[in-house]
Amino acid sequence: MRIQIDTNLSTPLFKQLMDQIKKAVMDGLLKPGNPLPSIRQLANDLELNHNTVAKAYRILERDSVIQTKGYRGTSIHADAIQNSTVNMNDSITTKLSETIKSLRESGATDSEIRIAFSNVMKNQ
Amino acid sequence: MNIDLLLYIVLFSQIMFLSYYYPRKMLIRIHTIFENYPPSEFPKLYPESIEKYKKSAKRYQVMNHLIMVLGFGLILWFYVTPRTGGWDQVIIFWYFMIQFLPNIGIELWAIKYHNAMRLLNQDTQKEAVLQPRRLTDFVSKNLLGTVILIYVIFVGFIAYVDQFDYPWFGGYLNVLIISGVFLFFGLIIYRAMYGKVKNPHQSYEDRKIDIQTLVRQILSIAIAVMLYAMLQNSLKVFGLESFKAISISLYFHVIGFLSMQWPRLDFLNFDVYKDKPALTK
Repeated sequence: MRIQIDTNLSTPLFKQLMDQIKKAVMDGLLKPGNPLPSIRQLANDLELNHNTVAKAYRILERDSVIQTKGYRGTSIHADAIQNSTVNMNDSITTKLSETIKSLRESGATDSEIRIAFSNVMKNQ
Repeated sequence: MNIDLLLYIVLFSQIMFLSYYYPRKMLIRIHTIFENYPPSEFPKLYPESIEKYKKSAKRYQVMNHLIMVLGFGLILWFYVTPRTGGWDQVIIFWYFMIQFLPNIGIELWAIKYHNAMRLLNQDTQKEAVLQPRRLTDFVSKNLLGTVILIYVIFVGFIAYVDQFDYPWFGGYLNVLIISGVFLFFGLIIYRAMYGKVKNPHQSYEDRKIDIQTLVRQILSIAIAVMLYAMLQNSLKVFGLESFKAISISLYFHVIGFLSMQWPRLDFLNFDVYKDKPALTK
């Protein structure tokens, strides 16, 4: 299974990586338990910064698309197929929209919501 | 047969093999690339002018010829001076180091060559295979097992030799030095397997061939190093030190032979060096 990234595209490199791994899972090219290369190997092969690959792996791990098991390395998560279909961006947007809508209904202004949101993010 | 005569024959063979045959094979390989894959069709293969590369090849040839003449001078010097045996192997060792200098030059040249290639590389698409590389992808478990087994035998052998009141900490210094060399070999293999891509145009399959060749060479050399160290210790223990110079020269023959196990050119994908990048790198 090959992965290809294009440094000319406006899509961030880590996103390109994530999308292709998710697509490979959904297309059945990568199956649960299949091993993935280490961050160092993939970063050097794609001539990317290690942090870029690490970021993609971190988010995929958070979404339970991949899993890291110490010295055994990184592999595809058992629930990767169903988790790959979940689009986190859409999910966050939907939840935030609902919250903002209810806050507006309770009388809060956009400015107050922005300040409160900013404060909450800072305190997290 | 007279030991001195045997030494001259083996040294002559070393000179011819490492300063004539080996570079000749290397130059034939380089010129085959120049002829079969010209800059007009494979521009990415030549980040700089082909004339510059031809000059470098000529320089390599001249250097080897000079080293060959130096070797003949060495045989003559061995012949006219009385042989005490003590320093012969040290002299042969340093002569071998000189013989390998042009090849170190080639390696340094390759680094510069790949850097120039990377600087000119305009490809924005990068490709990788989503599969971890493991040592056993490149060499058989049998070969790996053989290296480990010989290492264990080697350490056991040194411990055995220790009973014979052997100098140099009973030969344990040999174990330490060879273990250090193996660590260095391990580092080279690790860099080849997981390090940065040297040649930005090279296909994944060709890179695998390169890594496989390197790993096999290094493991074979590791075996040769240990067998040679055991032989040297045995010669010392059994009082056959007069054969040490001959054995070191034969050992360098083996090292030279193992170093020239290059991948066949017709197995490599040169299409990636054409103007339009191939669909699959």
